Order: sequence, then C-alpha cells, then structure tokens
Amino acid sequence: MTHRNVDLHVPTLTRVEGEGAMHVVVDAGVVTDVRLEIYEPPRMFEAFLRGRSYQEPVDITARICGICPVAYQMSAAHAMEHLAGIRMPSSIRDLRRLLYCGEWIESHVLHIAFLHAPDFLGVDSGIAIAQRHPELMTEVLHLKKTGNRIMEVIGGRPIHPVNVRLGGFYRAPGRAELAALLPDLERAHAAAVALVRWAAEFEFPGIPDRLAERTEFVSLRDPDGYPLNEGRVVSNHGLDLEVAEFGERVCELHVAHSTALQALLDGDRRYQVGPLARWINNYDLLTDSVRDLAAEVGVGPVETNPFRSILVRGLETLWAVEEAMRIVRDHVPPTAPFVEVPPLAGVGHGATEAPRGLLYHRYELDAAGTILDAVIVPPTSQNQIAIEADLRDFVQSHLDLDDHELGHRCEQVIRNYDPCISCATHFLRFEIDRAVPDADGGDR
Amino acid sequence: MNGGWLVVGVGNRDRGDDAVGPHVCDRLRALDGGPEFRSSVCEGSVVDLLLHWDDDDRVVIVDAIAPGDEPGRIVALDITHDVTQDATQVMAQAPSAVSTHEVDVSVAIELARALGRMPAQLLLIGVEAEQLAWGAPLSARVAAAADEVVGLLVELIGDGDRAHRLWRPAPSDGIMKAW
Repeated sequence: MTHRNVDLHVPTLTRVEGEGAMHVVVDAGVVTDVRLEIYEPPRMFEAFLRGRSYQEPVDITARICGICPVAYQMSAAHAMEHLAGIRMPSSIRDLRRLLYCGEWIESHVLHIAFLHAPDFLGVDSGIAIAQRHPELMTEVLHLKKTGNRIMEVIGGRPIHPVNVRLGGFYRAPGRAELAALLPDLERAHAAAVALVRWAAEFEFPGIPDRLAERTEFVSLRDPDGYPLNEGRVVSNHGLDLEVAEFGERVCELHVAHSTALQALLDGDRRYQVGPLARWINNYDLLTDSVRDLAAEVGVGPVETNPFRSILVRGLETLWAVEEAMRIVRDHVPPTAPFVEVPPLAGVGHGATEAPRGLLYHRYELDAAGTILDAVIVPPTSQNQIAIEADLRDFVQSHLDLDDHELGHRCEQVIRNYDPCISCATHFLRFEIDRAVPDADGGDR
Repeated sequence: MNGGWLVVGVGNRDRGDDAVGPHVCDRLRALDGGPEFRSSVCEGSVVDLLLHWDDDDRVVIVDAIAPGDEPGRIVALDITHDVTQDATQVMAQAPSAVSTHEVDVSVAIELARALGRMPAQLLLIGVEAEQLAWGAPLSARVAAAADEVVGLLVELIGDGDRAHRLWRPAPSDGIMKAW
C-alpha cells in the first residue's frame, strides 16, 4: 500500500499547565498510535517525603501545585488522620470544605474563562474574550477573586495556604471573618450563573462512540453532600470502595513516552476522574438551584461529552459558591482550631476531590511518625489514558478536518481535562503522522 | 479611597528575590509618618490584578525580573497608555511570567486594558533578581535595591512632580531607566 505522510507540529500547547508533546499516527485512514509524551523531569516529591515527619506532608505536598495546593493538603491530612483513626469535628470539617470551595472556584473559573473558553470562540486568549464581553469578564474576575479571598481568610493566604495543619488549622477564623465573605459570595453567585449561561451558547463537538457504558467515571461519593474531602470511591460501573481499598487496587504504570505515571484499576481497567465523574456519581447530592440551571442549559444527570465538561465545571463553580454561603451562614467556630493527631505505625490512605479529580495519598509511618513510604496519585496521571483514548477516537472520527483544524481540536480534547502536568509532572507539542493513500495511489 | 496612590507588590515571599515586591510593600507600611498610600500584596494569581485598583488610582506595581547580568538593577516604566515591546519584555521576565499555572503581569495589564479597567496612572518597577531559591531570603543586592525603591516611592508619592520627571511614557527605542 502506498501512503502519504503529513506532519502536524504545535511547538507548545498553550493554555495548559506544564510541557509535553503529542504524537498521532494515522495509517491508511486508521489511527494506529496516540502518545501523550510528557517529558518534563519527575519531581520526586514521594522520595522527598521519606524520612520526614508525618506532620510535614500537609505543607510539603502543597508545593506540588500552585492551583490546587488545598487538594494536596487535604489528601495528606486525611491520610494521616485515617491512620490515627480520628475523624475531625464537624466545625473543622466545614472549614475544610469552605477552603476547598475557594480552591474549586478559583481553579474552575481560571480554566473556564481563560484556558478553555477561547477554544470554543476561536480566539487565542481571555483578553480577546474580555474585549468582546467586558461586563461578563469583569464579574468573572470578581468570581475568581472570591475564591482567592476564601483561601486567604481560611488558609492565611491565596496560594499555598499556611494556616492548614494536621488535625485542622493553626487558627480558626471567627464568625465575623466568615460573614464578611457573604457580600462577595452573593455577587459571585450571579456571576457563576451568568458564566454557565454564557458557556451554554457554545457549540460543542462530540466524540462518537464515547458512551457512558464504555467509560468508567470514578469519584468520591459521600451521602452527606457533593464530595470534596470525604466519601467512598465509586464509579458508574459499580465500583464502591473504601479509600484504602482503592489505593490497593489502583496501579501506576511507567510508559516509555511519559515521565508521568499512568494509572489503571486492577491492572487493566481504564477510568477517568474529574468533574464529569463527580457529576455522574453525585448528581442527586447537588442543590436544586444547580440542578435547575443544569436542566436549563441542557446538562442532564449523565453528561459524558468531555467537550461539555466546561459546563459541568461552571455548574460545580455555582455549587461551590452556594456551599460556601451555606457554611459561612451556619458555621459554629470549633472549640479548638485543631485536634491532635498522634503518630501510629502503619499505613494511612486519603483521597479528596481536587478540581481536576480524585487525588489519592498513601503514607506508611513508623511508630515515631517518620514516613517510610509515600505514594501520590494525582488526577492528571489517572486521566492520561483517557486523554489518549479520547484523542484516538476524536482523530479517527474527524479525519475529514485539515491538519490545522485537527491539531487545534486535539489540543481542545486535551484541555477538556484541564490537565495539570506540573502535578502529574508537565506539557505539549502536537505532531501527527498521517499516512494515507493519496488520490492517485502514489506516494507524496 | 479613590484617586490615591496604590502600591502593588507582586511575588512569592518564599522564593528568594521574587519576594522583593511584597517586601517593598512591607517596608512602606512600616514607615512612620510616611506619605499616604494604599498597598496590596499579590502573592498568587495576577490575572485579577485589576481588581486591586479603582479607575482613578495611581498605581505602582513592584515586581521582580528574572536573574540576568545585573542583579539589583531597577527598571521603571510608565505603562499607562501602552505596553511597548520593551515593557512587555521586561514584564515577561518577571518570575511570575514563567509560572506554569497563571498568566504573567503583562497579560493581566492587557486584560485590564481590554476591560476598560486601567487606572489613571500605571507605573511598573522591576528589580532584577539574583536568585529565586525556595526559602531563601532576599539577596544583599536586591535588598539594597528594595531600599532604593522604597525611597523612590516615598518621594514619588509625596511629590507628584517628581513622578512626572521620573516616569514618562516608555520610548519605543529602549527601556526607560529612572536612574
């Protein structure tokens, strides 16, 4: 068979966090290989943690990511507290949820308005969107800043919070400090609704054959509320595990083309984490107002189109604003800002919902609380295989697009996951090798 | 407060000389009997930088510039009306510009311009860093430059005329140095 080769090359993928490359091979009209090549050096955090005190991962792992430090802090704290067999009092758990709401708001809004929306509008950046929609973007910036403000009030500063410690907080904010957030939250609520309605006007590509029954969506589920810090690990395929059991069944693989590990369940089960998974597994736990807005914009209880994840992120942003308002209004300050968590020899597991999906930590300690082993499985690692599968299916079903458009859409496929390569470890050049017979059967 | 001076210190306090912006804000706040101004530290996201100011504020952003040949070098630019290519290059050298997670200061300013949210005056002071090591204090040369910036800001805020002598729109043929 004769072929022609076409190379697409995108030197740097924009609007994602980190660096890497992608290579797609199309042979005679069939996608034969897709590689998400993450070449950024490993960051060795798990190795750094060995020999450190069990109290330190809350601060050390927060440095893995400037966008989702709270997720790392919470997963680390819950792992240690799991080992100690201690459950925090509700007042501390509420403050943790509030802090996490702040992170979700600022992370989701950054992704929606500045990283993802340009794909749908055919522009390069959020600046171009701001020129077209100045009033909306001004409110969106305020919405994002409200998330930052929550992190500042609860965490001590807007990034890498310094007020978080094992067992709670160094200092618990008072009622007045929380109440001062309400005016901003009320304004943020309107902005979140407007953002979702605006995004709902986009045209959403699809990936044929990407059916829910073929994709396992994994997230936490906690009967007490939409998941942030607590719950069992569940999926739409019937998975229902304690976090510790999930940790035993998830396995990380090293592939030659990526410095980030890839994750599978039970050695061969591909799955994905993130907003779509949370939405599918916890739709019944959303507030009525969020479900009503979802219905208005056409998002049902099961949303599997990754291009429409921007809508789910928007709806989760609205939920986070409402949850923050609820906590602020109902909060009863804890009698003490933290609970002592003693060291115990053994293994602790923690999983929380980072903005991008499930973040799992496992620590093995000796009796003095020295860390003997640490395992961190970030969401982008878990989503790598799903991203590659989406790329394969998307390219296969859109070979009619020219290389420029196909390359652009492939970047969008990747951005659907809001990948944080600096967590997984980083991102992206795009290259396609399209080997197909030309019209006259000859090579070119 | 409207129509006043606002100093915004951009940078990460835990990252060596990247802390120079917040450090300058700290120093200004600690002055007894100093000029009247507001200050704001921007340690995290700069994308919402424009929310720090009101339309009629006179704003000075203090930020670190990536290490080069002249640690402690101070660059001052008036970017009220335009971000020249030179200014963009200077701002792109800010450590925050190479963050994997956020936009850099120049993008944040262009966003403000796009939204019609520029302040009455927007000045940028960049201080060339010597090192950006995690947990390190300010280097001696950058600490000295920070002292110089504090002195300059005291004069600037206390004497508007001096501002006009120091900061003019950056010429297109090169970075305007204040001294």
